[in-house]
Amino acid sequence: MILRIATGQVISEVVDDEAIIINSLTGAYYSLDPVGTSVWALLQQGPSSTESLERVVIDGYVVDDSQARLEVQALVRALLDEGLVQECDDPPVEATDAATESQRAYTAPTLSKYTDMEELLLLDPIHEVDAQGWPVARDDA
Amino acid sequence: VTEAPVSVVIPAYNAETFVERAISTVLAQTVRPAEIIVVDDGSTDATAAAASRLVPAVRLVRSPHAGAGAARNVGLAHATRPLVALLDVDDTWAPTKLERQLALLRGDVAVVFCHARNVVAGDASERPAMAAPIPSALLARREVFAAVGPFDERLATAEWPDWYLRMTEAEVLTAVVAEVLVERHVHGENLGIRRRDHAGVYARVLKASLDRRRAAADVP
Repeated sequence: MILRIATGQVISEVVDDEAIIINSLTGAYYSLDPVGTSVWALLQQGPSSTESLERVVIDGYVVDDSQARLEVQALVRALLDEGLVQECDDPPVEATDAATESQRAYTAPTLSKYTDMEELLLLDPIHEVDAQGWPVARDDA
Repeated sequence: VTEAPVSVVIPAYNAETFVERAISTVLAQTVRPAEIIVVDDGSTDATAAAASRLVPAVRLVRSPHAGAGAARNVGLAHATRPLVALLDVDDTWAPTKLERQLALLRGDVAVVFCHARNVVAGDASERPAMAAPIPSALLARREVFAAVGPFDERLATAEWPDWYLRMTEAEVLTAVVAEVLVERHVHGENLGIRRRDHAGVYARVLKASLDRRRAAADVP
C-alpha cells in the first residue's frame, strides 16, 4: 500500500521530535510520539509504502522486526481512520538510507488526538475563497 | 440608551474601507460602551483619517506597524474601563451584541463569547453559524488580560489561538451567547490557517500549549 498525507486538508510540522498534525476539515489536532514522528517525517517527504514506513522504525529503533511491523500497521490504520493519510497510486519516494549507527529506545507509536480547539481551528474561511483560485488542492469537494 | 463600563478595542491596519463600518456597528449598540479605542497599526492608507472623522466618539491611538496582537496590546494599555470587548476591523457587530453578552457576565464568569457567521462579498447565500471563539466575539473582564498575559507580539499569525489556549489553560470561566451577534467578512486577505506559510506557526502554537499542559500534568 502506498500512502500519502491527505492532500489539502492536513497541516503538519515536526517540532522537537513531535509531529503536530492539524486536520483543517475537522478542527482536530494530533500529536505523535518520537517513533510515530519518524513515520510521519517520512510521509512528509512524499508518498511512502507501508514497507518503507516499517523500515524506518526497524532501522531507527531497538525493536523486534515483527513487533515494529504490527505496530506501524496499527498506526497507519489510525492515521487512515482519522483522515490524516490516504492511499494513493503515486510512485513512492525513494527512501533515503538514514544513518542508523545509533538506534533509539522503542515504544509503540502513539497518535494522540485533541479536540479542544475544534471550533477555533475550523474557522478558516479558506472554504469560501477557493473559487477565487486559492492554490490549495481539495479532496473533500 | 444605557452605557456600560466597556472599552472596545479595534485594531486597524490599512483598513480605510472597513473602519467606519466597524465603528458604526459599535455606535449602534443597544447598550453603549463607555469608550471606543481605534488603534491604527501603522497603516499606510487613509485609515487614521477615516477613524479621526469619528473623534470624539472614538479615541484614535496611532502606533508603528507591529501586527494585530501588538495593536490589541496597545489598545488594552489605553483601556480604562473594567470590561473590554475586541472587534477586528473587518468584522461587524449586531446591535444587541454587548447587551446580550453583558447579561451573562455575572458571578465568576469572566469571559463571554457569542456565535459568529462568515459573510462573503458578493455571495448572499446563508452561511452556518459558528460557535467559534473569535476575537470580535470576546467580552472580558479587564483583569483576564492581566491573568492570561498580553498577545504574543512575536507571532505573525496565530496570535489569537495562542492567547485563547493560554486563557483556557488559566481556567477562566467562560460563557457563550448562542446567537449570531458577529459577522466576519471574508475578503481574501484574512485567510488564516491554510496559508502554507502560516501552517507551521499554528503547529508550534499548539505544541507550546501541549508542552505547558504536560508540565502542569493536564494531558498525557
